[in-house]
Amino acid sequence: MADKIGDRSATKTRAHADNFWVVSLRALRRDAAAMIGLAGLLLIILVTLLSPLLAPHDPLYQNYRARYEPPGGATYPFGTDDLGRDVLSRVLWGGRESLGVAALAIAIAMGGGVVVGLISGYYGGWRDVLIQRVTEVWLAFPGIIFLIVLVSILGTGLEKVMIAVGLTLIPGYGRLVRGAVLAARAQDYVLAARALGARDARIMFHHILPNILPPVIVFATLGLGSAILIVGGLSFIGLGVNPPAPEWGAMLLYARDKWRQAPWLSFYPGAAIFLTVLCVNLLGDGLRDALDPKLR
Amino acid sequence: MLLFILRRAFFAIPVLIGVSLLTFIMFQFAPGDPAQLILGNFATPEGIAEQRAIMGLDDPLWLRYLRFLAGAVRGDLGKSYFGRQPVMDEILARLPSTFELALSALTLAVVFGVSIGIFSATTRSRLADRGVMLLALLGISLPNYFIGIQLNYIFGVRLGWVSAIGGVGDFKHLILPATTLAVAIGATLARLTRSNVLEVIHADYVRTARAKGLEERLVLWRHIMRNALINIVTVIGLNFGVLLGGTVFIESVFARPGLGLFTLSAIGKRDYAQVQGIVLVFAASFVFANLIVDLLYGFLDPRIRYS
Repeated sequence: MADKIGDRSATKTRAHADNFWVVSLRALRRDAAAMIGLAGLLLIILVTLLSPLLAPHDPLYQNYRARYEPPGGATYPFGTDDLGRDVLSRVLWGGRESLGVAALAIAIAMGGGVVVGLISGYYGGWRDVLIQRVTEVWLAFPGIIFLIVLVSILGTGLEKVMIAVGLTLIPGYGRLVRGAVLAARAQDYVLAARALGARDARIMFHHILPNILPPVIVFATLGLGSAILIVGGLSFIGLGVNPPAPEWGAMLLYARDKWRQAPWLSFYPGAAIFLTVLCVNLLGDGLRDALDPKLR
Repeated sequence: MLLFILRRAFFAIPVLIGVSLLTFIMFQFAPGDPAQLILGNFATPEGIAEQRAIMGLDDPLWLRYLRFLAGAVRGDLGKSYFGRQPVMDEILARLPSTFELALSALTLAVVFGVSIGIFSATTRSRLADRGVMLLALLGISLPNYFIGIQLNYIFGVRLGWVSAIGGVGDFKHLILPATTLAVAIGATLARLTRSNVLEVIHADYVRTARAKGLEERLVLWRHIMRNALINIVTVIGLNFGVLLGGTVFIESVFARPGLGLFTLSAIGKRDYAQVQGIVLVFAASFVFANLIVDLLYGFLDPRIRYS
């Protein structure tokens, strides 16, 4: 990176050590908590992808001779529900929708926020004023309320939930990117690129974007945790995945009126959401520390 | 100071107008014809046309928006599709319960979150710091609907201490929902307070305060916290949205009659007159809450007041 050439202390020790990403990744690798989070998250993703192979039973199969089987048994380690469906298999399958939807929603929010924030911060002027006014109004709605209403208008279903969560989160990313762009716009490398005749789009996406990416990545990682919570929550209030599909939030909703007979029905899917979000947050915290040069 | 308050309050007006406009536009996309929904499946086309005329649904969009805005300003949010009750009255009947829940949760979160954060930043025990921060991390990772279910199971079903399900008005019905709602916000505040206190704890003015022999307690509150508080207040403001949204999940878990539960029932019935009114009230209270936060800034930091 052009602006790091003056940094002699780093070049002395190692040839490529001055690359920001290399340094950051090395810092991340030394962070035990972040590595636990990363390993846990990869494991959860792997298990979720392999659920058809790993699940001992069909998640939808109803075994009426094994209803309300308590957890701990050899056949049903997590027990069964009122219809005799295997809770373990349902939990293993249950991450597919929520994790995919949450990740895509964050991708929408990040993509949209980057474009909006770059335009707003780079051009300034009427575009900036317009985008900032819309952002203000957008953010004036409490996020979850906005989301619930959006889903109720768009209709339930996974792609709707994904779009709604993405739309709700765009302004936050837009604000973040705009702030970073404003700081970057006056930097020498931007002036140099412009002096060389680079077009606006090239300056924005090729020169500015890579330099402002670190905080966006941190924001997105930590945001993924809340997106998973929200997607599960929407299913829990009946606005996300519809039964009988095995999905963690929907399983919690299904377990609601069975607390007394079968507390394990809500425990396992809830714990699955919790562990996933915990891993994401561990990784996000580590990324924040690693990607923030002020902390090094 | 008065000028500052008035100026800030004035800035809220365009935002509120924008909020009403966005709400209005959003609900233009709501499925179904309101007249049809009100009259039911057996309505004649003539009946529907008549109802549309009564409601002014055939007027141009801008006129309908102005009518909506004029009503909202006077506290008239229209009538619900099915009960034909004024939506404002339906909302006002449920507002106190939700307000009570949100305010108790916020109080719990601020009291515990901030003191835990201060403890974590100032303790000399690295172990205690790590342990408390691990708890805070668990707090932000737990889904509040899951905490609610588990607390309810442990304290309500197993121990039988409180029957938290349903009902409002007394402490027994409030403690579990408020605690559940407070966990995530309290944990966020604890993490934030810790990092903000750590940021200013080595500032020159703190060293000066210590050097002149100021008591440690006064150093903490008068110098460290006064400066850390600005960021903390910002995050409290940002969390009003989480708080209001959280009431939907919490009221759903604990079957607590309030605005959140009302929202879900309105959505379930597809009564978009109710939903629209609720959204407007939620957004307006959010704007109002942020206005209070803005004013608090000016109170905490004189530099903001005079700029």
